[in-house]
Formats: sequence, C-alpha cells, structure tokens
Amino acid sequence: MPSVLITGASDGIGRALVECYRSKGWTVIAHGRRQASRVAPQLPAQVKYVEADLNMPTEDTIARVAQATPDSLDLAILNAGMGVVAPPERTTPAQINDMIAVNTTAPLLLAQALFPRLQAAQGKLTFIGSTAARGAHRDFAVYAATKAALSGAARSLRLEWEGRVPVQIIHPGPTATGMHDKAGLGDIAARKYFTAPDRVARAIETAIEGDKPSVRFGPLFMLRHAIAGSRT
Amino acid sequence: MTTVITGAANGLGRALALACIERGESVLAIDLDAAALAEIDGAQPLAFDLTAPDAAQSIIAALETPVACIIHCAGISGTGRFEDIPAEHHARIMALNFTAPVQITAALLAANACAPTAKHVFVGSLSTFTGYPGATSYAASKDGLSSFTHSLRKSLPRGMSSHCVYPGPLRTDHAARYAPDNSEATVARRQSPEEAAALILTAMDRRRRAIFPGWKTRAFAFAGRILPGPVGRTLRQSLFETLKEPKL
Ligand SMILES: NC(=O)c1ccc[n+]([C@@H]2O[C@H](COP(=O)([O-])OP(=O)(O)OC[C@H]3O[C@@H](n4cnc5c(N)ncnc54)[C@H](OP(=O)(O)O)[C@@H]3O)[C@@H](O)[C@H]2O)c1
Repeated sequence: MPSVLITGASDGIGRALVECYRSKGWTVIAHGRRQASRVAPQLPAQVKYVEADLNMPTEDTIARVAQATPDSLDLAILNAGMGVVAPPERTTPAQINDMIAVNTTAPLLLAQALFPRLQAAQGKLTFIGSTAARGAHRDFAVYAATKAALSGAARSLRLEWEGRVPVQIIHPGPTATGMHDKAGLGDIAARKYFTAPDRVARAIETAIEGDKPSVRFGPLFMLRHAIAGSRT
Repeated sequence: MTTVITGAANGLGRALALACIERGESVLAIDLDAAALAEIDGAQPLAFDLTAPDAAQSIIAALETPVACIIHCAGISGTGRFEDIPAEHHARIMALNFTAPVQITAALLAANACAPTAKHVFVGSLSTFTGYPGATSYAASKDGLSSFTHSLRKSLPRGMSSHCVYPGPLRTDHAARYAPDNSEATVARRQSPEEAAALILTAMDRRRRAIFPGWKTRAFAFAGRILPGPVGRTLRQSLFETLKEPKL
C-alpha cells in the first residue's frame, strides 16, 4: 500500500486528510504538535503519530519527523500551519517568528529532509498554501506573506526537482476549522460560508491525483468539485 | 529625520547609503561588517546581526530622530541544488531576508518610531516574477517580502507608504558570490549598484509601489509573468543546471 506523511494532522484539514487516505487503505503517518495521548482517540487505528513542535525547526525536530516515515515515501502533504489576525504592529515578535517558522521554514526543511525518501518511491510533494498567498491582506499581512513565500518556494523547487520529485502547491480558501479561533478572528458573518474541512480534504485529494502544479480553491473550483462529487 | 539602510556596507546598500548622504539625508547605516561601515563617510554606523532577537530594539535605541525612510537591503543567498544546501543555511536565508525586515517593521510601528510620512522600502528580487531554480529558499524569502510590502500598505497610517524593489543581477560581490558564471562578459552585463540606487531613489520620490530599476528589469518581470513556462525552463538551464557545488 502507498504511504503518506501528513503534517498538522492533529486537527482541521490535516485530520480530515488522514480519514481520506486511511479509507483508501494507505499507510498514514500523521504529524501534530499536541501530545499523542491528546490525539490518538480521534485518529483512525493503525495511524502512526509523530509529535513535533515546528516553531523552532531545528535539525533534530525535522529529522524526527522525517525518520517517522518509511524509507520509500509516496506522498508528503506539508499542511501544518497557523495564523494570527492582527496588523503587523499588533503582532508580537514571537507570533511573527512562529508564523514564518511553521508556515515557511519548516515545510522547506521538511521537503529537504524527505527528498531521498520521496525520490526512492518516485513520490510527490504537496505543500498546503492558502488563497491568501495572492493579493494584499490588511489583518493578516504576515500570514499571507508566509504563504506567498511558500508559494515561491514551490515554484522554484518544482523547476529544480522536475523529473525527480513532482512538487505541487494547493491553496485552500476559507475553511471551517479551529484555525480561525486560534488566530483570533472574531465572529464575522462570512464564517457561515467557510467550507467544511472534509470537503476541502476531498478536494485536496482530487487535486493531488491531478498533475496541476498549483491549484487554488476559489469559489468556482469548490462548486465544480461539489457538482462532480454529487455525480459519483 | 533619519534614513535607515540595512546591509549598507556593500553593494546596493552601500550605493543607496552614499546616494542618500549625497542628498543631505542623515543615514543610519547598518551591517554586520563594522570595518566596511566605517568607510562610509557621513553615516552613523551601527554594526550588529539583524537576525539577533533584539535587532529591532537596537535600531530603535540608535535612532536620534524619527525614521523618514527605512530601506531593508540586507540579504544573503545560497545557490545550488536545494537538497545540497545545508538546512541551517536555508534557515539563515529566511531569518535575515524575511523574518528580520518583518520584525523590524512591526517593532518600529509599534514603538511609534516613524515619521508620519515614513517610507518602508523592501529590497525584493526579480525572482518574484520569474522563479529562481537553484536558489529556492532565497526566492521564497523574497516572495514573502513582496507580499508583505503590499499587505503592509493596507494597515499603515495615512501618509506612510511601502515599496518593494525588484532588482535583477547587479555588479556586486553578492551576485559574484552566488552566480554560476562570473566571466567578464557576464559581469559586464550586470547593472552597476550606483545606477540601480539612483533609479530606486527616483522611483521612491515618485512614490512608486513596485520599483523595477531599469527597463531590462521591467522587461524580464513582464516576460516572467506572461511566459512563466519558457522563462522557468530557461532559468533552469542557464542557472540551475550550470551550478555544481553549492555556493553559500
Ligand atoms: N482554515 C482555513 O481557512 C485555511 C485556509 C487556507 C489555508 N489553510 C491552511 O491549511 C493548513 C491547515 O489548517 P487548518 O485550518 O486545518 O488549521 P488547524 O485546524 O488549526 O490545524 C493546524 C494543524 O497544524 C498544526 N500546527 C500548528 N502549529 C504548529 C506548530 N507550531 N508545530 C507543529 N504543528 C503545528 C496543528 O497541530 P496541533 O493542533 O497539534 O497544535 C494542527 O494539526 C494550514 O497550513 C493553513 O494555513 C487553512
């Protein structure tokens, strides 16, 4: 059976992705920050869990996550991420460090550490970006910048690894996960329209099966995906 | 009022510092290299590591007058195969090129250290429009800066502005250090830092948000935008495939 590493799999979109790949019978290695005891009951049986805080992505931390995966890895979905809703001057130095570390530096270093394993399986690397990677965003300038940086990394790395390991980036739109509460987003009306994480996870799975290097989940994409899903 | 320039000891930063001094501005010149800073006549030198946790506070403490303009020019690269560049070097690129300018901007604004018409200028890279195989983490750091520049504008107080500069290859030590080819002909084709600095300052005076120093740079950016595929493949051949050992 093929194997997949999913980072940030203890909550939200990542956890929904675990369900997707488990139900297909894949070997799933799930990463999260919280302790295994606080995540195990929610994860399907046979899922291996690796705990690592990525806000200081030292070589040890990165190696621990990579070493939890098989020598030959078919897919890595680098999904762990966090945000803070505040303009730059009201974002603390620690919050800025965390966002850049978790959303940009850690996925870059993980990609590097996983390269031999992905190459061995002729596997694929998928980054989870955000539709915020494009455009200007008043209240999450730093978060958007970390995702733009990830997007830039994906573009150049794809050119470098062409013919060796395909690199893809998928940009989900607003999703109804716990991320927004953690980020300090108020009870805004728009939240009603956020997509459910299991629908986003299925759309990610479909996008990974395709070969588009960069996929944005705009409203049109989600509508088309929903229609295609209801037909099958 | 003060003009703050990071990475002022060499290359583009030095050319910008000299041009600003020439215009009569009081320049706070920041770099790691104290000896090179001391050679810039007329600047207030400040030598320290911008990736240190208290970097922003060191700048604020050194300011005698509010910031009229800050140019974030300090940057390093690392070229070669992504997997061959040491992880700690990738992390250092992110820390100096991306984290430091964001931290400093947030801290200057939070401390009210800027003049009401302050300009926040970030030196990005043409790679935002073309990609940069062979310098993946560098490209990432510069794309982060470009995005940050445009988001920052939305929350800045009225009167302040933010600008991103997208330089191409310059005739500096930085370029020579990371380029696969430094033959005379290639070096001659690079833009001189003095020329780039002059074009950048003029564009800043005109309050241009996206600053392309020179028509060639603008043309490359345009080509990267409309023909990402061919431009990416060309760069892969001309840069990535000619790089042998990593250059840090
Ligand atoms: N929700 C949205 O609207 C949305 C939109 C576009 C893109 N995205 C992106 O999608 C990805 C998943 O987001 P989500 O909505 O599923 O968020 P979520 O529900 O908050 O889950 C985030 C996951 O990332 C992990 N994580 C956070 N900080 C970490 C750290 N310092 N070290 C290690 N792991 C850490 C969390 O682990 P613990 O819970 O164990 O701490 C959790 O498993 C993120 O990259 C996010 O930026 C989300």
